[in-house]
Amino acid sequence: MKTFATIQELKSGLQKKELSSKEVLDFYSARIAQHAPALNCMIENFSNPSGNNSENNSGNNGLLDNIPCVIKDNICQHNRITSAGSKILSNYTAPYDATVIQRIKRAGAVIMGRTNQDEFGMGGSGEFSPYGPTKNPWDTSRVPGGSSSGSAAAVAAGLVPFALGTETGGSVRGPASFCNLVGMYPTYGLHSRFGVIAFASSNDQVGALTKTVYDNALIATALSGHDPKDSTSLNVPAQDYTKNLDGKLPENMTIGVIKDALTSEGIDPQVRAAFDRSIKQLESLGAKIKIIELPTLKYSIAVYFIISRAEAASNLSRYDGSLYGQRAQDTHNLLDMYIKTRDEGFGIEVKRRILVGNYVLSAGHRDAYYNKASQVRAMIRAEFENAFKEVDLLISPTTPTLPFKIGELSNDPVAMYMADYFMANCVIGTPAISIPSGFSSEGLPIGFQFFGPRLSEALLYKTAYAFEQSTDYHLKHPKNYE
Amino acid sequence: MAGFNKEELHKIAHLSALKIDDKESDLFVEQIKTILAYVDQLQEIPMSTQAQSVRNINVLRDDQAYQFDSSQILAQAPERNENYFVVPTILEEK
Repeated sequence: MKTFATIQELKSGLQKKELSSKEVLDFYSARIAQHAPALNCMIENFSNPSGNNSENNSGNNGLLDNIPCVIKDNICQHNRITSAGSKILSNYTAPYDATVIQRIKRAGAVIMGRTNQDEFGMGGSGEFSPYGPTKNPWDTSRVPGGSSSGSAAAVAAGLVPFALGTETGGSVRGPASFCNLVGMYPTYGLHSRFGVIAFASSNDQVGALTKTVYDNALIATALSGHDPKDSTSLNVPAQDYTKNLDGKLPENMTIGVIKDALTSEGIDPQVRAAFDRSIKQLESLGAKIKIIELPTLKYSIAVYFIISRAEAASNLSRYDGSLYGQRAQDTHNLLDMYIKTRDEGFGIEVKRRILVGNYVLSAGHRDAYYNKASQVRAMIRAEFENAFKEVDLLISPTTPTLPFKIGELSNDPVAMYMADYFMANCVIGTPAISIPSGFSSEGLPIGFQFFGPRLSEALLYKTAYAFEQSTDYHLKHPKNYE
Repeated sequence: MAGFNKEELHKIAHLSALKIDDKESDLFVEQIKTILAYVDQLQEIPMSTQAQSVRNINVLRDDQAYQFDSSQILAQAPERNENYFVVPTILEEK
């Protein structure tokens, strides 16, 4: 077995009978047992993986037959604990599969466990987990990005060929960038949220972490399609996102460089240098480059702050110890039980976000914060829509910095949140894909991303694939995991 | 925003059913003040009249009862009595 095989390679090996499903399963079980503890990327390794379809083949479309994966802990898996990385749900057993889990099981995937994450998806570094921080396989003194921290670290270290994560404001693309992976935030509503534990419902989406663009397109193919159980699911037909990946950019393509990516002071010089090389690379592939100004972009973090905290405060009010999850002991009345349960169950970042959320929604503040943020959100949307009249796609670095040291920013919430500068598309629900674009002098991964208009996933995958195939960054793997 | 202080924090904590001990409250006040100062930049933006919020549409399903096995849901109860969830006293006697 080849370490760091892609899904595409595994599928081919299995189809040609060069590999058996048992060989594949044993290989990845051993990889997880060997490396997951030191990376702290798994909350649970299943001793009996789910979804192995050997006994029940009905309805299997074969897209992911016998392909192992791991799942972020906030996506419900039937009869498994699903805790969203929170103590408050540490004993919660999901009574059903999330739609995305049903779909990857139907495609034949084998689920090996659930991954570590920032509690309820609230964090950009993987440090806000009661299970301790996840480590970046490229440098274990650094963060892998968050909140899909364990999913990214597991794929980057070659413990599985793919993982599912979720993103509300950078939680798939940030870790993809810090771990030399591919990560997509799809158009809002493209993948079902049924069975995905909510953080900020108007932004939350599921996305895969993979080593290559082809693999990512394959997972999107398996996940897509309308779900009547999610009222925000888009009624668009499922499609095969792998079929137009021919290594070429579309003819007469114009790519817009977001001006802030060139002028903003917060961008690490090595991230900037890699970005400049990526622009040249796209030009050499035939793209026309145009600088695009998005004057409202700089407000997107503030908009994201307000909307996501407000929605989080509302979504997390359900965790009170009444019906499921942990309940505090020795309480003398109902309110006392609520307060003690939530005090014991939530970590500090979750509490901070609930407090800010309820503050911006409270009487006398709602107009100044939540309503204002909703209006600016509409302005950002209009600005992006106008930009896409001039260019086919936009580009920027994924994160302004390199992966930082564990503990470096955890007491400075505003500095940590600045990492989401280029995640503005989440507040307007348009798609973006982060792909590898080079390494720093110390060997740390650097990513960059393409943004597209609504439902432009096919174009994003085609373009990202053409870029990837003209480079070799995706073929590099962290030392110590060969 | 300028008025965010300990008193405000405790009011919001109460609304949020959260407990803030004295040790934490100074840190929370400082951090939340910083966060609110940051988001206050939105106040400087003149509002465009064209930018419309997206109109959401309610998605409804037929009002039909369906059967499901409630035992697994009830099994999650921290405390139960047959088919009831049990919680501590709601109304206390004076």
